[in-house]
Amino acid sequence: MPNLRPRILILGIGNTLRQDDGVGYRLAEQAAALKLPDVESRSVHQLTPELAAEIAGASLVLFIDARISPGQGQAVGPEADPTRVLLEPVNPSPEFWTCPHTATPANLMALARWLYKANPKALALTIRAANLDLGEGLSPEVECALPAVLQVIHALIQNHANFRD
Amino acid sequence: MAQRILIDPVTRIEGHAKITVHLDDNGAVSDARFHVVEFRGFEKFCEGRPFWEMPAMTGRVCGICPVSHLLASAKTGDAIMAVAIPPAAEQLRRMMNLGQIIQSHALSFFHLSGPDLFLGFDSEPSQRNVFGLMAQDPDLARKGIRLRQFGQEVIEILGGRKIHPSWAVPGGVREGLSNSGRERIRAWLPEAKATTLEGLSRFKGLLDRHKLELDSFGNFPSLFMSLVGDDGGWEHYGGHLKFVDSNGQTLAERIEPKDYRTYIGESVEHDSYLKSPYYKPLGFEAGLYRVGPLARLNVCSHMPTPAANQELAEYRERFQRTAHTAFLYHYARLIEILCGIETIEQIIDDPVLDSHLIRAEAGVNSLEGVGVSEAPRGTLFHHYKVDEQGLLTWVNLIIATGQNNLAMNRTMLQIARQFIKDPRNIPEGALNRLEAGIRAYDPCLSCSTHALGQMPLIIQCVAANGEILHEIQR
Amino acid sequence: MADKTLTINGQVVQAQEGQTLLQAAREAGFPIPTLCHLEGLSDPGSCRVCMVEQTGSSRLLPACTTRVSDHLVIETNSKRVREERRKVVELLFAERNHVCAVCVACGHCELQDLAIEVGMDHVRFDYDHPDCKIDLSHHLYGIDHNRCVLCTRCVRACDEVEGAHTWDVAGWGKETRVVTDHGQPWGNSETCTSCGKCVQACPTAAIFIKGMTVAESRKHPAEIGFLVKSREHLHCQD
Repeated sequence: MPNLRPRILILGIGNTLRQDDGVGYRLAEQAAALKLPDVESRSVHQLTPELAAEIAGASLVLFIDARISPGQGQAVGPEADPTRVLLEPVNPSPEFWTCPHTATPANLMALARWLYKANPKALALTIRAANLDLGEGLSPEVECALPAVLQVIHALIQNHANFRD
Repeated sequence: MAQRILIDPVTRIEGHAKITVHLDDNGAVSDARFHVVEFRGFEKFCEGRPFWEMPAMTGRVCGICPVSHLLASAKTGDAIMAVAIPPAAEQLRRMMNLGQIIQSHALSFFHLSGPDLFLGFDSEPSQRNVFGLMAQDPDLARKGIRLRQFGQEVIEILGGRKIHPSWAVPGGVREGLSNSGRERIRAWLPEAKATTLEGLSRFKGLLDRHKLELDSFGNFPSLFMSLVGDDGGWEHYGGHLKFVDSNGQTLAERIEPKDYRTYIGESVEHDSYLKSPYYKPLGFEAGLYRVGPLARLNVCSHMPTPAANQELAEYRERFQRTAHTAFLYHYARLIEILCGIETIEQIIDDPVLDSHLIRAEAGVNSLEGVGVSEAPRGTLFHHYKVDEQGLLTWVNLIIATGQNNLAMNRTMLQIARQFIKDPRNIPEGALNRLEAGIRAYDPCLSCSTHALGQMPLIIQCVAANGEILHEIQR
Repeated sequence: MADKTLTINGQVVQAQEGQTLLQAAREAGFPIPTLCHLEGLSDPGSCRVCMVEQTGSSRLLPACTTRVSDHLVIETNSKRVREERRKVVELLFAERNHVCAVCVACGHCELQDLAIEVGMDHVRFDYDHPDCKIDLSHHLYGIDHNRCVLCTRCVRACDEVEGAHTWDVAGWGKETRVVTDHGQPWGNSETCTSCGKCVQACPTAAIFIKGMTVAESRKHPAEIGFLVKSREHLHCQD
């Protein structure tokens, strides 16, 4: 019997010793600490192909990562700097995998589809980085955006759960 | 000023890589380079810290091969404490290193380089990727994922779910292997072995199709270096260093890791932050040496396990005693995965694993220590100096990608010369081959940041006056 | 001893005269986070983590050093208290170089726990990045000033429980450091008995056992209180 319960997979990506680069990693840790039912939150250094197997078991996948480009998507805060955090859908794409060791979210979604016939909904939440130097903390700009991001994560989880109920 | 073609495939700001192809005034390829902006501030970052903390610090900074740094750093700590670690700890460290080699090689072979191999370099770019491979053989792709998971499982069972930042410590390891973990590994071994053998047989079937790549992919004579065991056999953790020349003649052997600086010089090139090590006795130009799977197979006398040794014999029969073409890195990786699996089969039954003696304790007994291990990509050196209290006063790391830097440049030049005849009309296949030539070395661009959306491939052909003749982006 | 009646978080509470607000609140089931306070040692009231709000007063009170009195109305977890506590913890982080990920106390650190408890998801102050030294001259223990929060628990444990008074505080402002034997390297100390009480009392891994690797340092600060209680008990029997 198929599992009808919504299963949400959060994948936070980053290197926490490179300041803002680690924002996705940290947010996924915070999300994991909430121990929400049916939500699995993983912090990873990079996206690797075997994650496709986990994606295949989810109904919603939320990628969280830093970005340095202006980016695309819906501006979701914080109020003072709304384009700091962007939300956009991830469509499976086999677009050429140029970076050794690192797949894009679109690559992984395509992998999950091809290998495991799975087609979960996927969203990318990206936070524009301000400082990528060596160091543990986040830059003030990115820190200020954290509450807004957590709110968005919460809302997405809630909406998804309600929708599936 | 000469023209140059720029391929800037990866990421950004730091830790990014690009390939430049330099043209002379007649438009002919004169030079080619692979640039890595590696993170060098790290060594300074560590100075002043107690050496005990180094395994975790180095493991944390490199997200690609934390295990390799963890082990090299712990071994350096062993040297500073001047202790021999308990036999159980050594076996467990070996098992973790093999898990690392298996998972890294599996990713490289089945998912990063597999597409080029299985689909050919002149196939449609949209198809010539991991997805094209899957369309052709999703079963093999799924098995590749399982093989990688096996390697990671070995690491996680030993080091904990989140790969504990400091499982290997100066003097040994912090935790032994649980019985349940031991059984999990044992049960998975047959499947891992079967996948590896299937990969090997598929690869061998493709060798004839890739005659051209075999000839042009970094097919040049060079020196090779790796660790070998006391009997001259393949080694990944202990033993000593050995250099051979392009004919397989021994240049230097039984080199104790602590004496590496007698044999290895390090230069820093102006256009790359990467240190370029070379074999000192022959100087910078002639001293170009390669490390990694190809080098390990060239340097060793035999593989220490039966099936892998049989594969090595076949490999040597097909090519030469000393293989030169970088394309064979792929083949070498498969043989190493097989050897890793067979070795884990042996270790898992070793009664010494039941011992509770896993960690030697000692203070600072030597003010300097060198730790060497074979990372998936090649020999990794950690070298620390400490004060009498154990605070680091000086740190030097030599990573595999750095040691292959000179060879990668030469590989780029060879491919560019072979496949770029007209710089105004660069065939897609030539660019694919340049990238694939780099991927054959599986360079570690870790220590880098990686934010989303930064992976377009840009190819620029720049004229002498700086004008961009054409640009390809995909 | 006379009882005092006060109100904590809207609840009327009976407490014994001489008790601190911290004791009274904890007995009444209202937890208050602390840092420089350690059971068995005197309270300097210096870290300001246990601050509580007194209704009708603009000043916050340190719960560990304020004695109970009649008619006191206290809030231990008001918005203002929570904000102040968080600020205090953030300042502790900004003041020295705390790198949890590679710290030997990671996962077993009172400062780290405190940050989680007060909900510190980031630090709003600029980090000071002071140049701090590590002293590994003692044959068993080390002190890394990067991780010191100047709670002085080591100083008090050494003086009040061990009676050695090896540790002390020296310097002013940003230059303040805990020192051994007036600033001698710890290994040269003639007063240190190597008892390790300072190690157990230290809430972070500023004072640690040498040879520890990441996340390996587990402290037992309650041992200090246990020791003191046992002595009191023996004393009573005399």
